[in-house]
Amino acid sequence: MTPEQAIFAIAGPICLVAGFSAVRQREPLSAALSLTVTLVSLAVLFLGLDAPFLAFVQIAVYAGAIMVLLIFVIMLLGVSHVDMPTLQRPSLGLAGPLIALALFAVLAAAILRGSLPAASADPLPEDHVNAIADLLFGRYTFAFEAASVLLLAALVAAVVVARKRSTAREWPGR
Amino acid sequence: MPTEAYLLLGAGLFALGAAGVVTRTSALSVLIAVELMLNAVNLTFVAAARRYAQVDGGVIAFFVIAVAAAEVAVGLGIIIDLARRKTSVDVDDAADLRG
Repeated sequence: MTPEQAIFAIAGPICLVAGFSAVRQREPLSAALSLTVTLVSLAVLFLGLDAPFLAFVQIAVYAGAIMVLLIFVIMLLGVSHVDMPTLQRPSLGLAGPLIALALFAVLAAAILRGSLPAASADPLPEDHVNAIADLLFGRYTFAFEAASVLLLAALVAAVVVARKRSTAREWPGR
Repeated sequence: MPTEAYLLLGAGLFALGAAGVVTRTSALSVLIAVELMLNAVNLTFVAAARRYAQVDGGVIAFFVIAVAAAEVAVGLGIIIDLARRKTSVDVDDAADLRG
């Protein structure tokens, strides 16, 4: 068994089970922690896929910053299962599992029955971070700059949306 | 490992996330399910980058993470505002514009 197969055999099932738990948990905090387990096991899978830089970005940005923000807001709102008596819309019944199964069946059929173009014979560049930097500041410079504008816009939007309304009078009936 | 194994794992995670997005009532749970879908796609990008020995897939996954960060910031802002106006984060309570 190659190291990559061992990584997949361990992290793959953990990833799926934690993902299932993340959508099934009634308690938002438990769902967020399950999602964190999914993110960390995905980072481990990235290591197996020869993408160490992305694995660490995944840990630092996703499992670190984004999940801290999410858990912070869950704590701030104090939402618990008391506030959400129903796990899903009552009228939906078994719709959730059916949607998941149907979507997975279609995707799996496409993956298994279709054929991917032949894999490249050469391995990924040895110098992974350098290769990413070359692309990021070469071919994808515009997208990189656009991402910085997007992050700034999101920052401003989050402040504007989440601040206390001093102009509540503009919204009669609230 | 064959690339198909990673694609199947990504498809499974994506299906779980999609089911969560359309069936959960809590806006926080919907946001968590969206994150799951984004990560499933990231796994697919990274697996394809390895298969075709092109780092581009990794760069796109990097951009997906940046967009996810922006999405979470705005989404959580909206959820905080929703909780303040409606005293709940149930997505069905935020249906004022429904005809």
